[in-house]
Amino acid sequence: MTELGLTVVVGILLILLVFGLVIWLLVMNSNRRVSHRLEMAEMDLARHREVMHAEREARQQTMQQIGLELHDNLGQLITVVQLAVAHVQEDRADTRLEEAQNTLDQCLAEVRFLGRSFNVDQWVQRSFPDAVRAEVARLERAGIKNVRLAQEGDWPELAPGEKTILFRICQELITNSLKHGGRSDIDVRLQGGPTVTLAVSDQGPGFDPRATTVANGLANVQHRCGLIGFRAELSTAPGEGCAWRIIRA
Amino acid sequence: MNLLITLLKPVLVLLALICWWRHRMLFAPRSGWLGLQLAIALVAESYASMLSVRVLPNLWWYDLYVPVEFGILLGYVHGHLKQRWQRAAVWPAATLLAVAYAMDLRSTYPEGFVSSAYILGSLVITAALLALLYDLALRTDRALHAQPLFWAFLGMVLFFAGMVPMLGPWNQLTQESPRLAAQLYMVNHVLFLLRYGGVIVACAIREPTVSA
Repeated sequence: MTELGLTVVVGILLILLVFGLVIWLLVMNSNRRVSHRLEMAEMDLARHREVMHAEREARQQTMQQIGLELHDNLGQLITVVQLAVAHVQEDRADTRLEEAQNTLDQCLAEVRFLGRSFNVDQWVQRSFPDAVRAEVARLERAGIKNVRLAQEGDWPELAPGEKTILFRICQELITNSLKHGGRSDIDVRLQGGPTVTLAVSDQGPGFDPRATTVANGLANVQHRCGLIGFRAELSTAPGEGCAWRIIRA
Repeated sequence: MNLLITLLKPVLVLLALICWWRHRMLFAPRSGWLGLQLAIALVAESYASMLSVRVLPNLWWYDLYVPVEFGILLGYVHGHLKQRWQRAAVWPAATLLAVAYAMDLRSTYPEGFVSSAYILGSLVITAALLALLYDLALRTDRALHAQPLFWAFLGMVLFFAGMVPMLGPWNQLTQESPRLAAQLYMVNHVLFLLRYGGVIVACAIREPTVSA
């Protein structure tokens, strides 16, 4: 090959090399930006989780304080009233006073139960199905409505904080059915296994899920679900009852 | 056709110079060096075009322009290089170029063009510009093609890399086949357009400035 030909070949190879390098740089830059965006998204998610965690802790602390207040302060006041009523009863036997004493006993039991339920520490020993079972039994005792509980599969062990929030969600859904579900029975279903689901449903009058007040309630439930990595699904329409499904995402 | 292109070359450089002047901050650091190179290129290309129109030899003029062009470009590139060793390598490269230029000039003047020195200079500038492009691709958070400097460097790198196969056989070709050499010179016009077009594109894709 002549010197001239060699120069041309080397030059053309150089141009091809330059083109190749420029394309490689463009691809590298693009990949780097994609990975940078992913990193930013992950950081954002981590920050969001931290905020959720802080929110959850603050909420738990508040609830624990309310629980202590109920148990120690309100409980003590009721006990004082109980003693006073008992004292009056000693002087004067009256069926109305006896009835008041019974009501006070019941009130004290409810306040203590409420105080205990606000105490997050209890969730360390208590499983979520046990807590729901106790809640259902309490409602049954109250005799307002029929509340049925069914469990399928093994319910996974949740962290105490998660159990508390899920239980509050469950309570809210049951209370909603009690308030707006008409005379219909309430079904609570716990489904373990791969798809962990809490379902609360009634065959009441139902409602329009697009209504503003309902949308707020739904957003509230969804927000609380988000705090513990669950999502909420609502299925309802006027005259068709109401079914909530709280599913682990 | 060739004459028209010859006359249009200074116009293109003038456009690049105006663009640079209006958005010179885009080419920082040492943006002034690039402006100086554009200004000198305008003078060089205008005078070379004038000589060409009068059918007078202009290679001697380019022989004078070449060391100035490489000197200024090396100064500009030196300001952009981030690594210490890269900046240090510019000095031996400049010395090597000066030696090659002196030797080349001695053997070719006044008929020929300092093609060997130009090829060597082109290789040095190409390598330095590729290092700059690599650095730009690494440190920018924006798309590379949205960076004004990318287009300015790309235009230059294509010009100098393209000049190597064109100038390699230049002196031999002008002696053996002047017609073929003249046809090959069309490549130079295309590369010229890419080089100064890169500066114009860089200014055109600049970030929008917020006026008060």
